[in-house]
Amino acid sequence: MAIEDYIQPGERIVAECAGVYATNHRIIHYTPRSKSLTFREYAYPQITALKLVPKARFSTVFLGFIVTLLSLLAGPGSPFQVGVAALGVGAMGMGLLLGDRYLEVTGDADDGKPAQWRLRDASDKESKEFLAAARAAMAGPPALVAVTPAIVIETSMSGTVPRSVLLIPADQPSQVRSALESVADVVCIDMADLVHPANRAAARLMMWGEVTAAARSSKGVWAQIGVESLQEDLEACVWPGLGAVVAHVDSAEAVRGLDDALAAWEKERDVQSQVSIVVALDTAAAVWSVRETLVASPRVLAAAVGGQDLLHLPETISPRQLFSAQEYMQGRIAAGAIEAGVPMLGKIGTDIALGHLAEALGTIVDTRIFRAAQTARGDGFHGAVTTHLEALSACNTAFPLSVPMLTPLQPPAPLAAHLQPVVPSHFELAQIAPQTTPTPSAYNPVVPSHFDVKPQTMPPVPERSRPVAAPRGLKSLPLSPSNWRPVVPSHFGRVVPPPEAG
Amino acid sequence: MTFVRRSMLFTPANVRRFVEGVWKHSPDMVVLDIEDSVAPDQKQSAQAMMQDAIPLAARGGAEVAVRVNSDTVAEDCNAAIWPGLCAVVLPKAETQEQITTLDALLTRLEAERGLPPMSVEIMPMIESAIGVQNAYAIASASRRIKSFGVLGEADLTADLGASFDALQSHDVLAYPRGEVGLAACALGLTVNGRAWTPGKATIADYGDLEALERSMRASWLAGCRSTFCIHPRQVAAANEHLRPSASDVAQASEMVRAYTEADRARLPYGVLDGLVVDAKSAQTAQNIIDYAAACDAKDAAKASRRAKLEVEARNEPV
Repeated sequence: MAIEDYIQPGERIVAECAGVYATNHRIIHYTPRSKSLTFREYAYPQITALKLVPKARFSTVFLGFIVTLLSLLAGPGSPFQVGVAALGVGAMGMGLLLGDRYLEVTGDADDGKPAQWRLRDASDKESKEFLAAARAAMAGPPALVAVTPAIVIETSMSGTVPRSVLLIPADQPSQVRSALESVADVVCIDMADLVHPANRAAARLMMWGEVTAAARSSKGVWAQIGVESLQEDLEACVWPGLGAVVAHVDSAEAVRGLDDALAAWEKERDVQSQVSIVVALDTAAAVWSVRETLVASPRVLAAAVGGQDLLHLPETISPRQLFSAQEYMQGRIAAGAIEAGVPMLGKIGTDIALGHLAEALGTIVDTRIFRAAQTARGDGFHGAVTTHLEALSACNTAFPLSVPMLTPLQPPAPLAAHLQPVVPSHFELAQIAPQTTPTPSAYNPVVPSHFDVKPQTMPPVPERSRPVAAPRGLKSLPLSPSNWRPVVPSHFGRVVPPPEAG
Repeated sequence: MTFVRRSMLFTPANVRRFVEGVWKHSPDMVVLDIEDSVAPDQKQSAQAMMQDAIPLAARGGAEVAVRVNSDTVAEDCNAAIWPGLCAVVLPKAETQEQITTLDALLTRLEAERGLPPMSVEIMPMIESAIGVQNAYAIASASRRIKSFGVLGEADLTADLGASFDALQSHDVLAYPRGEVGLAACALGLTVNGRAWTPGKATIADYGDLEALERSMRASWLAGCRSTFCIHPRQVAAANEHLRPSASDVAQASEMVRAYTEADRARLPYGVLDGLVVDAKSAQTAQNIIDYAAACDAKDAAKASRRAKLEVEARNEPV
């Protein structure tokens, strides 16, 4: 990727010197090489001081010193020795006097510790001109330029469910570049979990270039955002070409809020194609209200199921293990997702650090990943999110290609009178207590779940079922169904011998 | 607040020698029972003894709660709410209204009897299908509920038409266990109860020590922090296994170290045995370290009280 890929709309380069660029917003150290890439940057508000620091070329000084020393030891007194020694002294002088210039940038984000970027082979005049231009850009008001998208991009994965999603950190352009050359259906650029908090502001500044570059490829491009920095992250990532945002939202209100925010940014940026939402289900609250969350917006494209890694990694005391009823959780998520008509994506290897697949999985990495993907497909997953390039092929093979969106379930036909249950089902209870905060009509849940239901006082008990003795206790307590249940001896009376306490 | 209530031992409130000697078993909480373990004709005497029983039961450093009858809640609370009581265990919790009514009653009794406001917790037990159905509403009905998730396994299996004995081979209560546990987690409450393990490992079983220890360890790994006990053997197993083991603490310390080093280097996560240790994992690991320290402190406090009581018992004239 060229430096232009990282330059945002409204941003322009005002000066360049030996791989360091000053734009009207920030200063960037950008050095692409064949096997690595340096990308560091400071936004001007972060910079407290900017200056040139001359430094001796210690390698030249050291070389001159060695030459001088050897010539003195080799043959004292000869004209040749004197000449070589003079050469060594000259080299030492050049090293000391004609050293390199470094641009020293002191920023708030680094706790006052300055960064020094070498202006390799730049002359004194060039360095000073660059410093002056950068200082002028820092002092000047930020240019307010209306944002006009240069291109409108329709991604190849629009509206479809990917088989493989590669999650990569936004602050690592080299990984973005590798991801674009991978076989992933979708590249998901993460501004939250995979980026250290200190680097998140810089990561946001890189998003425009990365989203645009990814969208120009054959990949779909998603962005993972943090809910605590929702607006900043959306401002950074909603650009033409973005297919979806992945967000850890755990309620219908949060999804609707995200929907509104996306709509506002789409309008602001004139984004033609609607950005979808992928709901990341990582918390108990999210799993509890899964169905309501998934039907809260027509933008919801998929549910990314957190919890346990599909690879079933060895036991660790991770947060995921603190509630271990995984089968129940998965069943609940699957039921909610099917009711909402939203496909599920699993996670493969996201708990394993990059480069550590073999350490975590042993020697049969490919086989285990493929089996995990196959099992996940059998369990109803439509694709998987991974952080490992090595897992992509297995996902693409195991999961079906471009699954169409599911259709929300239709309401069941009413039961005949003689089949009506004695205790009203939660569907009937829902009719007694309709939703107080209706969702948009087109996406109203067809079948209200029991979560919509306020706890009900049970209907009056038939006379024949009433207990013989009038219930005692609190007068205001409703007649509890426990009173008319068949009397079952408690476990204390039935099974357990009297306690031996004392 | 980190409270340590690994073992909550039921003790019949009407048998004074049981209450006097309960400290010997070292439970974290004594639950004075005026429900199932008290015969109907003994309930009035149990109620009458409650005020004296509370300080007696607390002598060994345990917290003291009371289990009331769901159909005589007002009467039982009137007898039981005295200084020193920390919680009311409400069996057969089925509706939100039960909780709000009890909450109002506790507020009145606290004011009348000089207890700090909101000092008495409510610990609902889910023992019926309707209770499972209303789990979230029950758990969210009062700020007095700080922990949730206990199932009355015997009553619940009966209500579901399942066999209690079937629990030995498979978890017929998998759905209620998940539903109630998830409701607790979603509300940020401490999870009580037991995870299912094969064999004789229900609350009614205490003969098979190995199964008991396995059950307690599985419950700890499942996120449970407290369990009811009906026998002292269960108390010892819960105190030992319903808490982080030494290897858990060692692993947690390694995780915290890995993350701290990564954080210093501005990396988003650390690596331990090839696995990611992110901020969430590190926080969980730190919580485990803190909880282990709280358990140690609780054990030390109980041991100190117990030593004093043993000296007193030896010096007591026969």
